[in-house]
Amino acid sequence: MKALRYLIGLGAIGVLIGSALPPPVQAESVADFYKGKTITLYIGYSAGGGYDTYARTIGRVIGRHIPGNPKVVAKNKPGAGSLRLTNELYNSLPKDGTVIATFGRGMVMEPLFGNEKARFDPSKFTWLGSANNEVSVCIAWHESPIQTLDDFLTMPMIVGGTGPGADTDTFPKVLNNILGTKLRLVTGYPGGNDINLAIERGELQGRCGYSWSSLKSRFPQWLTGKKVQILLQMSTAKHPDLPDVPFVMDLAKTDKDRKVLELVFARQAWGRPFAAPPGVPADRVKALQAAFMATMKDADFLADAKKQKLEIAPISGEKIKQLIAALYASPKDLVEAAKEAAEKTGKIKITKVVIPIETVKGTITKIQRKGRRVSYKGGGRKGKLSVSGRRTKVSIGGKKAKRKNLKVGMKCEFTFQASAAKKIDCE
Amino acid sequence: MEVDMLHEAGQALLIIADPTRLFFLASGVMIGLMLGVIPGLGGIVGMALLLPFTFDMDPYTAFAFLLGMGSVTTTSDTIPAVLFGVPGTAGSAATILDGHPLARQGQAGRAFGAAYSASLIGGVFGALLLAVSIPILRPVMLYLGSPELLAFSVFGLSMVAVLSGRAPLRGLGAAGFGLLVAMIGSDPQTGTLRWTLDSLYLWDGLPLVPVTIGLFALPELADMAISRRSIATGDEAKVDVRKGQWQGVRDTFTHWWLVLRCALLGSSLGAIPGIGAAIIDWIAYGHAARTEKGASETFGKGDIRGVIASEAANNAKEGGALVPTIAFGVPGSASMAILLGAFLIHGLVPGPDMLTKNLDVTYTMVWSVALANILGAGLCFAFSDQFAKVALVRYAVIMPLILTVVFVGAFQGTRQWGDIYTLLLFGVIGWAMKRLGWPRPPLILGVVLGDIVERYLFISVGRYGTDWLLRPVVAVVFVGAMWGLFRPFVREVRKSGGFSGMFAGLTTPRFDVTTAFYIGFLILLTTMMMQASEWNLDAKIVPMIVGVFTISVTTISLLNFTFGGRDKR
Repeated sequence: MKALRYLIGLGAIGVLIGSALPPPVQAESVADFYKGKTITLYIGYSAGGGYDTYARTIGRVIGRHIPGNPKVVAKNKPGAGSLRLTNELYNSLPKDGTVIATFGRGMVMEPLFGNEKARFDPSKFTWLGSANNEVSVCIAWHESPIQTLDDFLTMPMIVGGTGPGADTDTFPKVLNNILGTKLRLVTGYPGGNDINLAIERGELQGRCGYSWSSLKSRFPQWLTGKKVQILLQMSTAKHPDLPDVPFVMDLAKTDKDRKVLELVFARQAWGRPFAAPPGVPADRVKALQAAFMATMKDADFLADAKKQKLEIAPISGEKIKQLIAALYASPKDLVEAAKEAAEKTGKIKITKVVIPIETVKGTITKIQRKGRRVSYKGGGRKGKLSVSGRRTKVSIGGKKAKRKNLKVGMKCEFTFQASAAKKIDCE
Repeated sequence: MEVDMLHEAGQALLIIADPTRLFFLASGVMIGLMLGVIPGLGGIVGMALLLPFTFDMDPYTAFAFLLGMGSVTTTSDTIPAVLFGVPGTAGSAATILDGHPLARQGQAGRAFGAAYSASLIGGVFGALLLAVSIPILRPVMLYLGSPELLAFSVFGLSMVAVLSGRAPLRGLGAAGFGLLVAMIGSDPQTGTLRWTLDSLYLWDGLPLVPVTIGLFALPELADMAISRRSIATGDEAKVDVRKGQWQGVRDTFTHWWLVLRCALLGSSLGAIPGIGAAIIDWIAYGHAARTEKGASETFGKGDIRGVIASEAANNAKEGGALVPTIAFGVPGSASMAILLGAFLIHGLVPGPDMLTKNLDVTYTMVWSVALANILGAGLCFAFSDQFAKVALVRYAVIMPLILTVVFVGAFQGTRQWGDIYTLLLFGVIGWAMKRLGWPRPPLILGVVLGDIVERYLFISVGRYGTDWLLRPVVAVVFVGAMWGLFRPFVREVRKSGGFSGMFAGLTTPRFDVTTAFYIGFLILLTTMMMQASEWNLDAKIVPMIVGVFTISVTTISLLNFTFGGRDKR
């Protein structure tokens, strides 16, 4: 007992001296700390997906840019769309700089939108940076009637989703609510690839919420073979690959709408985010942030990324922090509007969506705008069709012809879907 | 055309015969075998770990390495399944049903012999099917939509009837409970959190690995501890393992027609994205139990045909799963999703090009799968006499070892404490079911299929309204499922002399532990239904239908038990 008291006394003296003297030179430099240690890089998703691929590629290189050259081991910690890892990173994982992680870009929005299960303050994470600014696109299969932005804004289209909260589900809802598109969401597909297969077999007409970088790298045959139309791009800025594809922000009708869209799509800016828990010692934060940005310029990393067709357009942790601060400073009504736009499904229900392709035999009764509009009568029906220069196949007397050669009174067979002519064969 | 294909196939064999490539293929096989033995680890983890090593290889070598690994995890996963009743990968859960009883009868060697040879033939058959069917599979795959996937899953569910043994009502009840267990978590339609008890762990639903291990392995271990014997009991325990293995191989060849049928099932189902590895072995097992002579008497008690069926199918799957990966760039399984990464790294684009410009790559993949299966089965064969001896070790020595494997395996589910709780909970449920004569396979079948059935039901209805019911494949498969589901019940009713006969033999009511189990089960179901009634319609409709059905079936079964005399269940 005496010995214990003696120890406590000694300790107290030590504390007194320690606080009275100026702090000693930092006993442990960052390099000393990391030497021989292992950094765990947690991934909030299971192996094989996009986040996983980015993280593993970065994990192979980042260690050599951190003073002391620690070993970096990537581990998957999937659960609740990475919400589980985000919570753990904030609350329970070690805060000494030996843990870094990547999680869903949408996680930042969860507390803002009032998810009670999100037990973290995004602005307090130690943000290391993001590997890419992800531009998301809406695509339509080449056989669907929707081929232009006008079609997209006015005609119904069946798109696939993977479940509530995913981009594939949130983005169509937002577009319907803000831009008035008539997307009908069929959701519950196990993953993005399953949606793509469903599109290919005609079960779905398209998909809204598809990373342009994934489309480019995983389904290049769709682009080279002109199998899909890219209708719209969604992000905070246009993608350099897509100068001619309409940009979602340009379609907002009012200033408020635009602000809501900006709020929803802000997450795209930190498309592949990396962070450490809050409260990591400042010198290690600096070292980790510098290492992240150095990795982004590392020749080996870039070669690795190129092999895997990963798009690299990094932003710094500091920048992410600023963006999040701005986001959380948004007025309340705007946040409410964005939340509603992302959740409300009322406008999505459309009773009739499958538009049959019909064939009618009859005569041309009227031609407008040099064959761009053709009215017909026959088979007990009449109507007006729009004739496309490229997508409508026109033939006269069995030979291929131009639409301007169509004349009133010709007897033809019209094949069309809604008001879009597919084929006009005239005698 | 055929000559061309043969020529290409021959060329591809020459490519793969290069010593370096063979070396990597063999290394892949070794790694795969090891991953297969460890419960919870399998091809998916292996692919993710090995992928970076293939960056600097040429495509042929890379695929040889990866496929070598991926093809054989389902060969060696038999070892823990047979010895301990712990599936090495999700694909060997059905192997346990007959494999483990065989080990207990001292015939582990025979089970191994049959399993490896069936795996071998299944795997090679799957590769062969891949080779010949690649050119024609694109249109077939495009024809199969979500409604067809739903139909196949429902067909899988109809296997409940044959997996229930002599307790069809209890089987249905267990399957219903399995379906409900599968629906725990965030639902795919509305994101409603169903039965998550405010725990983040349950958001993604219960992981399959601890549930399966708890249900099948823990009860066996408990009984082993109670009986204080080694795994193998009975007098045949001293049988020569080598001889047993050859006996197993002979069994496989005697039942060659079953092997081929199950291999065909495995590879075709493997080719359909969305039908996972966890389901295929059950469907093959159910198929065997339904079609083989005398199966209802012997299956589940150590019938070698049960082992053969599930093992032939789960190895054939790999070849099948390559089909959509190659033809569409849509992975047929989770590990194929990672393999797809390898395609990109080597600049290969899945799709028609793989059948023309890059046909040689495609065929080297076929050869890789085939060779890996031969090599994997050979290695297992060579070393399993050592493994089989484990079955003879005294329980006090072997038990701690198995328990370690069980706990580590269960923890691979999601690596959270919840995995251990799940393991223990289902261990208790499994043990109670085993002791009280409730069939366990229907429960696991429900867990495996519940998610897919609900998912594709909503997609089908959401997309097609009711039109999808009229699609020819759907209609045919549904009729088949109904027939499979109700035939055993009709037979059962007839045997008891019609409904009146069933209720004629009323006896004085009896109450015992089983009654308590029934009551507990009914209370649990009712509580779940009461919670479910508060969700919104899309989230609750399927669970409510399943729940009400399960409650009705269980109640009838309870009445039957209480008043129906001694030998009826």
